Amino acid sequence: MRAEPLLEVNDLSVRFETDEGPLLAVDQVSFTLAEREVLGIVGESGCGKSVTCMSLVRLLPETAAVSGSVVFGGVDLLALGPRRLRRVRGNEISYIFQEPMSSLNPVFTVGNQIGEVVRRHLGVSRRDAHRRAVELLQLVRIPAPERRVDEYPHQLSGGMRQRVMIAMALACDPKVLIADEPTTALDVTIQAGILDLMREVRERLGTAIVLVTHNLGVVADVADRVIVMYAGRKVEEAAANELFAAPQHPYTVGLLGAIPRPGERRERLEEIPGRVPTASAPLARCVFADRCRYADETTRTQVPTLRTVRQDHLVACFHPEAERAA
Amino acid sequence: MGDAPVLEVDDLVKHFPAGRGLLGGSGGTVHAVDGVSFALREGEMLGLVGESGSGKTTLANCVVRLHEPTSGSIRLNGRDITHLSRRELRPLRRRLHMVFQDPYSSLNPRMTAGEIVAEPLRLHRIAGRKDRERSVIDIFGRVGLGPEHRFRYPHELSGGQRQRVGLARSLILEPTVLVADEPVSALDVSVQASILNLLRDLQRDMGFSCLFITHDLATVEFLCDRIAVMYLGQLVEVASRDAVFSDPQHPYTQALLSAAVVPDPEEQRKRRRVVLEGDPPSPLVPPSGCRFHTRCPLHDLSAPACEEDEPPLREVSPDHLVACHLVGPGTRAPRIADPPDAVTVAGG
Amino acid sequence: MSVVASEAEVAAVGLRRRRLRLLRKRFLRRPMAVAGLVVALGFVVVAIFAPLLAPYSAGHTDFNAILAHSSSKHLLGTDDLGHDVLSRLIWGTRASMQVGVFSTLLAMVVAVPIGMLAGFYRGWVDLVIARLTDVLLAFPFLILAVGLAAILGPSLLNATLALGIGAIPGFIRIARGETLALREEDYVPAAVLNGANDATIIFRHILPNMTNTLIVQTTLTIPGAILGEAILSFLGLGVQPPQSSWGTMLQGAEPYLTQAQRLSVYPGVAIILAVLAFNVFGDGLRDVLDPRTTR
Repeated sequence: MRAEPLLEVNDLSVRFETDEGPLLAVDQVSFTLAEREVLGIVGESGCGKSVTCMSLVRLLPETAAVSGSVVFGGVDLLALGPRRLRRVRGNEISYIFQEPMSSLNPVFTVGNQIGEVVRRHLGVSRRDAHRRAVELLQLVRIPAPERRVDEYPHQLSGGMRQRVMIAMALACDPKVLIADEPTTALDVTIQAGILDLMREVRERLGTAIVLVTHNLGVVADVADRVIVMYAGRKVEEAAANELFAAPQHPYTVGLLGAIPRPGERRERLEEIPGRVPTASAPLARCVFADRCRYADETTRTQVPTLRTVRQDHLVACFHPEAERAA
Repeated sequence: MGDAPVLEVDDLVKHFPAGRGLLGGSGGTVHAVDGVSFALREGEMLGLVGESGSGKTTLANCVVRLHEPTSGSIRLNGRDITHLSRRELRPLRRRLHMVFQDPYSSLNPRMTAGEIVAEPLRLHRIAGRKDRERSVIDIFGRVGLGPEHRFRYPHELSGGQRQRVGLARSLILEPTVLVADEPVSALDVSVQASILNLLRDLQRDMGFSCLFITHDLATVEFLCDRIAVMYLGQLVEVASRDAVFSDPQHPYTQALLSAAVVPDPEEQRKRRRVVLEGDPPSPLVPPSGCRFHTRCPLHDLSAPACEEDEPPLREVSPDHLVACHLVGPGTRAPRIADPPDAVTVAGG
Repeated sequence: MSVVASEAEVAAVGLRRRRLRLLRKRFLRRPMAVAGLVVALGFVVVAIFAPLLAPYSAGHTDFNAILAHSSSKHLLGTDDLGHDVLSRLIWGTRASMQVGVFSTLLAMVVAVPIGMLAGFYRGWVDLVIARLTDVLLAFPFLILAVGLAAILGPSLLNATLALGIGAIPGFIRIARGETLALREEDYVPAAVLNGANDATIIFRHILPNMTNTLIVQTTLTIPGAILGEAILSFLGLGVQPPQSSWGTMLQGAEPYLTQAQRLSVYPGVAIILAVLAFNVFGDGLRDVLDPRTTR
């Protein structure tokens, strides 16, 4: 039942030119996104997850060299001219950011900003755009939308602003919504509402979602499939249930062990010694080798490729859990 | 754990005049902390849980006397420090310190790690240079840093290392009370684990009492002995860790627990999550009566009392305090997830 | 133990040198800024070594060569009183640089502590300082110079004072702004908790973190002061003949605008070059020191 994927990313690499030389932020990352699927991309700071997402819609600055392909609707987005790209952005693929206050323009009303997206892509009149804005505010469950639509961002709470961002992102009924740490800046009780909303968006509108976060709990809550990234590489990929029940990569295992869980009474949380490496060129070894307790000659001299170790479960590792349990 | 409290906070109130900003209203007061009382016992790790606007950071700043409270009292080892002058406070500064949330802002970029950690010793004129150096190397070792890190500048250190420096600085004088204001929230998950482990180890070794402030319930469950939950400037529930997690009484505590996400998809999908209705109120205009009533899923059950009277924080079972009209000694609040139509229209 | 310490110290110094090298690299990527620095330094060097470089003294006259064109004896010719233009230009560099640099330094030394106090204490201290700054702002430096000239008599000192006072409000504003921002950093309350008093916080924690901004501000204030000196001396309120500055050279050249344009061009070009050089260098320096710029 493998339908044609909505989005296909092949061998995506991103290199930045910095003061101290080139920096490889993303190293040959490939994945697909199916229709109505929620894909979680999880990792800590420096793993390249945000850079990956920004490169999908080419939001990166000039200093970034992007290679590989991002195929959407049969077209490689990385090769599109600017005009055609603008027609895709906001229209078929939308993006929401972590900080709703800095993503919304403080001098325009909420309705105005949502309306701008609608008018630009659907070419409707101001009045129709206004109406659509109210509709969208209702869709994202903002109470009293007719009143809120004429308010300014500073008059809304953090959670509300994030809902407005989601409304803007959904204005043109996109096929894909990329959410870059959408709840990180929000309180726990507000986050719960936003996650429920995202689930609802997928159910009712059929939008596929790419959800980038460092919070494994969020991923467990909303995602169908999960990709774990480390130091610019994809190290593990599986369905959510599968990943949490049987994590394979030592990094994933370490991450899950580092999180305190309700109900358990542990003496210590699991620590991962060392730091995330930064590289200017692809490393000719396992990126996790210098922090991994199972490191050996092989891991220090060869690059592990992604392979299936359990059903529908990919790992880039020479010593995944399944092969060590003996 | 001794039984004489090292820190006693009694009916603490801190109000700020609201700025004459261009956006907010002019005049009016921010009721950041509005009547908080608790005691911190010797060697205890007390977790203070609250979301933004709860006033937890203001409370922390008052406890260490960075602010002067509007009213109420703070007693450190029995001594009233509420309105002491800067000069009178100076010798007492050795007994209180704080670890800050932002590892990038809490260290002076122009000083080396060694200088930063030695500053308390220098300012209190303790020990000559050689002894100071030795103390610095010693505390560095205790927080997991090598002696060579003394010469590094903050921008040459990682986030986790910076927090270790912050810890070293606050512990070098061996304070009685350490206030930790969200010390790991700005760090990566794997780094958080090492700092939390470290904090627990240090507390056990050095025996200080710690007020640990956070918004993350899972962390307090791991780390703390007792937990206090704060909402809009007031405490709504204070109990032992086990009591809070196995038997949360206050509807807000229950909502917090319900909203927390767990890295376990099956568990997560199984749970009925309750999402609070409405915007979180502003500390400029706190709701009348029980401050939580505007968002409380059990509002109908306790109206009109909850709209008119502030529920006192009272002991409903041994060592378990709750501020709710529906909860009293003998009576308990229904679970907010019980009623079938508990999943309300979300706002905020 | 001390051997270990010195090894570590060496390692740390190595890291710091790397950082300086990085800054130098960033600077060298900006040819305009480098050019500005070179030219500005050139002027400073000329100002310092004027006695060695100038062929004649500023007041030396040669009545046989009035308004002469350039010759082997007078490389840039002479003016209407027989002064050697080249020498006057060199001595003038010294005077103009003196006024430019010292007036700025004066402003900085006076204004930065005031601005810091205003930003640190806020409240009525800030209010009082703000009103005083307003008073200063109400007097353009020209009026100040006239007033000072009336009291002290026109001179190089007069110009320095007038321009210095004129630059004070700018520095107060910068120092106040930086202080307001820096006091919100967490290391300030941390210092309070360490037992620091206000003086320690201001001088040990806040001031060192604003040096970058102050350096840039200084570099960008000097050109205004150079220009200001030219104006004041041109009007007779600053450097007085026979002492030479770019402004007095312009003053002397004014009646001969049609006959001997070169007498205006030489000091004019010097002024333009000096102002441009400091401005361009200052802009580049600001970019290099700003952690947010990537290259």
